[in-house]
Amino acid sequence: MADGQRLGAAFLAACAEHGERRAVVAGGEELSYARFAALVRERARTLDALLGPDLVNVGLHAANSIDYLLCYYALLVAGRLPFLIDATFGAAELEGIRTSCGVPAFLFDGAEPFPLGGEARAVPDSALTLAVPPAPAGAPESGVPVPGAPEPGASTATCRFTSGTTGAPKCLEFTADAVIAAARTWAAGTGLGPDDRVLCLAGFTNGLAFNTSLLPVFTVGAELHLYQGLPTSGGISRAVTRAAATRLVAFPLAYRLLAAAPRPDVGAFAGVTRAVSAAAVLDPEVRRGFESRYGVRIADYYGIAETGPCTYEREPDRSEGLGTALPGVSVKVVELPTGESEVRVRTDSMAAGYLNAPGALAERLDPDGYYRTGDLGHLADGRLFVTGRLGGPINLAGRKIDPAEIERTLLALDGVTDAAVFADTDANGETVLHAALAGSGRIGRAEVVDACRARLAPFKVPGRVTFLPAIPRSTVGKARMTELRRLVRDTRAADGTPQELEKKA
Amino acid sequence: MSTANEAARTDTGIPGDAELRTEIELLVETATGRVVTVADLRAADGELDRAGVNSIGYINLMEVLEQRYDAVIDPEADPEHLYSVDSIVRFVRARLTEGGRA
Repeated sequence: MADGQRLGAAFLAACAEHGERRAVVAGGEELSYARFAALVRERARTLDALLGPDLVNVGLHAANSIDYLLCYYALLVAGRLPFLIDATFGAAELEGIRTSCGVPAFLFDGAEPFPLGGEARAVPDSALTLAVPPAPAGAPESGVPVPGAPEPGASTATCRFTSGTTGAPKCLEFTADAVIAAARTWAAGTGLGPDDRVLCLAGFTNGLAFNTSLLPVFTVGAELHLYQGLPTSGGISRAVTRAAATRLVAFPLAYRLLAAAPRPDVGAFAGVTRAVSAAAVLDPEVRRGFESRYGVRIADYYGIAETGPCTYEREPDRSEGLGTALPGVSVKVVELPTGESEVRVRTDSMAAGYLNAPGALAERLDPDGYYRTGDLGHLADGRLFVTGRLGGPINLAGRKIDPAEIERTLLALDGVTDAAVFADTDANGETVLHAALAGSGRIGRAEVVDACRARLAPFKVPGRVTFLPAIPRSTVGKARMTELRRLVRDTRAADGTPQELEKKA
Repeated sequence: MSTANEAARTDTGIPGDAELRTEIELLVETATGRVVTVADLRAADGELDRAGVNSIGYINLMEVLEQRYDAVIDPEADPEHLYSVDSIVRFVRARLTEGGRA
């Protein structure tokens, strides 16, 4: 039995245990555990027939839905390897995944044509469609991965993505044991039980949902309620009411909206015992505002894409820090030669490696097998406090973005000779991507936004664009960020926007 | 010169198109933390995606449309309503007319 099938079997065993209990609810549709399992088996047979013997690696490029869950678990049961892909990824990211990971087939929301084109086949009894994009030059036939594409590990059961620098998101390989360990760790460490009704606002491709909802909810026989669409305070309140939710799983942005809502539906949250926040820093004022208004405690959780869930605050009267280590997790803080203190973690749910960056994950492990998170912080009485970053990806409302990926796109624009992308703050205090450009062509903000929209997922498009005569760089070519920020600030104060490169060159 | 919509404002208190458009443009600017300015919006013919409104901007905008006009847009079911300033104006006007909001 393939490792993915072992993961599928673990899911089916949970369904058998919980029988007629309600398992999942979304968009007016609901399934009991028994019905869920029956539909997964049926979908597995359907996908088996559609995919044939050759299409093993299958991308799942869709928004959260019951259909999504059926396809994910059916792929596992059918012995295929699911790759969970952010639904906002566009042609460039998908092509990168196809070629660098050897993913020849994709299940996608069928309303729009698949960004990579190719043959589209309806999946019976599903809103998802199977796309098999045309084979690249040199490949013998459609559906066959690019020659030389890496082989996933024999025990890889699910692949997810994190930000990459080369145009292709980095693909994390997880074994069945790692996924099951993450689910058990979360359930045991947070007291998730069969009477819980979990309303999840995060996409399954994100660690927040993957680690707290996708499998953990089903292992304990709880109910998973899916929020569909963009969240507003009213929409969340209505969904909490419909679900009679006991747990809310959401990003800090959702709590900000709820804390600031002018007409809050406080009663909707009467049954919520725990609100889980992760993936980005939660503003202490937002926490205080939400908790005092709704009488529900927000429990911060710390997790890393590469390691799974790490810490959680279990004590209800604690409102600072990220809690203590979850079962099976070790956290330590190591002082670096620079004097900074880096958080390092070791878990039972670590990824096995990056499929399309062999060896890169091993390089992130220290000699004791701890993952170097790149987060700065400290431990106090076993509680983790994260205070900053050593560098690396920008965290934009829970999505990690490597500036180098955007800089590559910008440098491909006519007339742009240098580019630096960094995290800035907008007038609402939210993180925003800022692109500083130098060059000689005639180009404005609109052209930059257009070009990025054509090549990158929408969340990677820089909101602010500033044109400079040159990007200040060190002798080794690194952007000198302090000087760059000062130049950008002075330029914007002097000129306003939009500007054009020609005027600055 | 008085337009039909301006006349409607006189009778019902509902803003005319020009006024509503200006309101919506400013709401977009505020929703994006002033990252997308009114000038950026106009340069993109009022199309929000083209102007560079990101998902956080859309969420903030939906929030304020719901709070201010009781206009609930489901971007999954009716994505066209959030396409441009014009489409938002049409949607909000319909909502205000339907609700008899002054």
